[in-house]
Amino acid sequence: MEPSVETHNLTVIYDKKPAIWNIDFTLPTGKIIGIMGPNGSGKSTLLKAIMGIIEPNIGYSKVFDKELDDVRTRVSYVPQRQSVDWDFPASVWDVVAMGRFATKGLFKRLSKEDNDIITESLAKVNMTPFTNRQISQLSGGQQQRVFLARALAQNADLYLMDEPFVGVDAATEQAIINLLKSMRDAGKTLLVVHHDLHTAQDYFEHMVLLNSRLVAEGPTDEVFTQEILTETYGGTLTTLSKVASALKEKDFPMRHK
Amino acid sequence: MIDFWIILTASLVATTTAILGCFLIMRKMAMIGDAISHAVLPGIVIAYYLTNSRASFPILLGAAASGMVVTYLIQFFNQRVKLQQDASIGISYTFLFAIGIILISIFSNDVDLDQDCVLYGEIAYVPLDTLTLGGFNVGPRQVWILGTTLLIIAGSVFIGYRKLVLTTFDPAFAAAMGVSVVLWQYYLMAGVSLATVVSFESVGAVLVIAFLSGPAATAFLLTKDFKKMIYLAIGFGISASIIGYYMADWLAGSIAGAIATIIGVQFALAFIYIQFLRKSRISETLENKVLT
Amino acid sequence: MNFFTEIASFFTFSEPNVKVVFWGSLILCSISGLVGTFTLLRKRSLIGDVISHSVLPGIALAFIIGQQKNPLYLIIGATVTGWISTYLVDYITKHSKIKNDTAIALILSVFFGVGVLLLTHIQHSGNASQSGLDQFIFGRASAMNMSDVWLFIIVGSIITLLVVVFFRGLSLLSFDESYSQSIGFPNELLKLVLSITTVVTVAMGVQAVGVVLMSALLITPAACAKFWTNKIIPMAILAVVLSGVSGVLGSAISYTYNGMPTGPWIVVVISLFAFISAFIGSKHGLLKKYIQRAKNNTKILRENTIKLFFNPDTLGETTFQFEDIFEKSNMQRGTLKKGLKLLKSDDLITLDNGTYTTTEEGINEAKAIVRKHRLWELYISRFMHLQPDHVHDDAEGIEHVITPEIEKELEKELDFPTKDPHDSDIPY
Repeated sequence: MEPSVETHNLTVIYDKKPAIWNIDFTLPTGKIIGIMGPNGSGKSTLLKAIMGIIEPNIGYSKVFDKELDDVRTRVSYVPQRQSVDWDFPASVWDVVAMGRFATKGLFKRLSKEDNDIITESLAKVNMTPFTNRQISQLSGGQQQRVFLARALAQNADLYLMDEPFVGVDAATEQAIINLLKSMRDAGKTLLVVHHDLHTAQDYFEHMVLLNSRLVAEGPTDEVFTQEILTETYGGTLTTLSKVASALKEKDFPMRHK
Repeated sequence: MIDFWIILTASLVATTTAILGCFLIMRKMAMIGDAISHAVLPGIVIAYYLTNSRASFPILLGAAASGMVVTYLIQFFNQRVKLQQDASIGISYTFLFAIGIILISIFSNDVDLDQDCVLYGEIAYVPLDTLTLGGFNVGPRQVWILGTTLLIIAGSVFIGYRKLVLTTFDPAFAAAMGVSVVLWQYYLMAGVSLATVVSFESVGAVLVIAFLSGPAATAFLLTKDFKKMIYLAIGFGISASIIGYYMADWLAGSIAGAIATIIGVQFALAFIYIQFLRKSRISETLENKVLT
Repeated sequence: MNFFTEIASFFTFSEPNVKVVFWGSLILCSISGLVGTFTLLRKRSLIGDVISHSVLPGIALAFIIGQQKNPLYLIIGATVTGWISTYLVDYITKHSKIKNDTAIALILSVFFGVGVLLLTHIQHSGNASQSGLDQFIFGRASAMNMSDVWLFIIVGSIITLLVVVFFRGLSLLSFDESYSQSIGFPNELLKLVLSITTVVTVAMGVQAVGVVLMSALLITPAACAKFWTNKIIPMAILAVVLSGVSGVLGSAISYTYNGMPTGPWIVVVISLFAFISAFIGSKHGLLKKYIQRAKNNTKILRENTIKLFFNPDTLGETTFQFEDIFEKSNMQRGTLKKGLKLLKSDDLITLDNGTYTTTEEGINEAKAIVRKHRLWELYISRFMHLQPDHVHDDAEGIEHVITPEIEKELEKELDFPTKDPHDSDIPY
């Protein structure tokens, strides 16, 4: 079985310091995988690097054992809700329709089949009554569901989600996790950046714990231990941060000829 | 007839800029439009001076060169020496604009540009500068240039519509889909540069900003659909051109200035209307709450 | 040279008007530098742009109402529309879905348009005293007279006084608004003071530089100062000085070459100061960066070259011909030669008949760098859970940045190890 995502020495440098450093892992398919770590530990950066939104400075990643460009139609990305301007004049339908652009390309008209998929996706997230609503009139939970519907409309095999449960009401959160579980049961792989330790064990079967560097990766019951959590959330390694500071201060290159 | 040509010229500018402006304001790039329109001046002046003509192509090249210089300068200040973005933009374009004005002064004998008109254009003279093709007078040169520009811009926006909307609304998602966000950003900047350069003679550097931001902003207030927003913006732009022309005639003042004033009035009316709507909606909902 | 003697003659004040121009520009620009410091720190540089363009209709209206070119009236008119524009930008941003930058572009251009409309209307109405109103667009310091200068001095003093009195509040507001709010500073009052002083400064300053370039006078001197210091008092002083100097130089140049407007020259001078400062000044100054990079490259070259002389078997002296060492390395010929030269001048190797031999010091250096390399490999393989074949490249880069202090930390963390992830010895 091919792995869903693998990374090798993945390093992204922001402002002369590594935001993520030497990330090395291989993830399974067909699971809900949580990516967790303290603020600023590079979780979003990791997702973006895998999706090719940010170019890694060092290292590379592979999806389904191939270059991302070869499998883009099989991957869906759900960005953080606040990365989008919800004042944009568009309806719920317009946003979900964007999910079909991936397979339809950017010029061909949407077919009846496309429209059916959009309608279905909206139904799966219980947003059908809001189909023509302007997106600025949605609540946080509703916005998140629109994003999810868009992702569903892509009919991908791998879903990367950045903090889908932030600022979302309890009912919506429950609905979302149920949806994710049913997607997993259908054989999809979900990679979810999450912030809440309390729900991590219920939601995820597999986890990646990050603190700029990889702290641990593996099945939840193996990595969700006191020791590992302390290492993840207990502050950065002094040596590592000293090296990072030295790199920044002296403007040193991390790689050179 | 002269009325018609002038209004047509203004309408062409208004339409081109309304289309671009809708994307600009949604991408929070309105001030970049301002910077570009000021920064192209030295390039234009040098092109005028070197070629000794008003031919458009060298002017465009000059403007492009100037535009690249300002982009480089802004990057230099912002990225290399870490100056805050608003200041980086401010320093760069004012410097280039100042150089442009100095050049106009130095070349005043050879270059037929008036400092004031650089800012607000000379649209009244447009009908006098006609183009002759094959022995036929086909109308004012500006109208042909602006018309062609509109076709180019409108055409390319039509073709790239989805990509433009996608990169405007959700750049991260667009990048994830393999769309080059950077490419479309540069496309818009190039479009704005083109539009400001060809609009120089008619409406000038500062007032083209009114055209770029005003009608789009007014339309944004009034609609929930992006396509409709573009059409509305075009409508507002053209109507402002018509009303502005006659107002300028009445006041014996700058036509471009008058159109900009009307653009402001349109926005004010739309703004007031929205506030009124809001208040009545609120009082309506309060009423409902009280009654139930 | 002709240019310099001409400019110099400006400063001899031989013509009476020169004194006026000198003092007028100096005062106007200095005040702008002072006020602009706060504008820059509060990241409101673009608002300065709005105000500058928006004073034009006020000037035109004041003339229409007063039917004369009284400087006081004009400044009052400018202040009124200038202030209205900032109020409108903030109001529109707060009460609608229009974003801040759009509001700025809109207000700036529309107000300017109204101003242009009124100005051209005045020009065409043939009122004799209106000539020279358009000096406000680009600035003409030479059109100033003594009473103008006295007005600047009075208003300028009031502004300076206000800034000095409220200095502490204004500084805190500029650096950290939410903190200043939390400790109960009267932020609304302070913002009002700043707002009014900025608007009045612009209203006056446009006479020297004109409306379009006035925003440069607010932003550029302060940005220039920021390249040299982060402390607000030196920053403000430096901005004032640089701005004043540019004002004087700019008007000197434009005065000498009749027909040139002052505004652009002042802006060119202060912008050049800014470029120079960006290159030389402070932390992010380019000069500093280049020097540091050169230092880094020397260090890297030195250490990479001596590394080649490391003897894994005896941990002692090694001897190589050039071709051998070249084969061993993956450097360019020229680079290697440069490296060997470095080592030789530092007495880390000796050259004898085409043969390079390590000295005592050289041996130690080689051991030290290999030690750092292997310690780092071990560290990242353990703490980053990397496979042994993934650690080498990282160590190649990081080995050079490991200071003695970091090295001690590594030893402690790894508990004084003897073997690296490839099971080679870590030399001591």
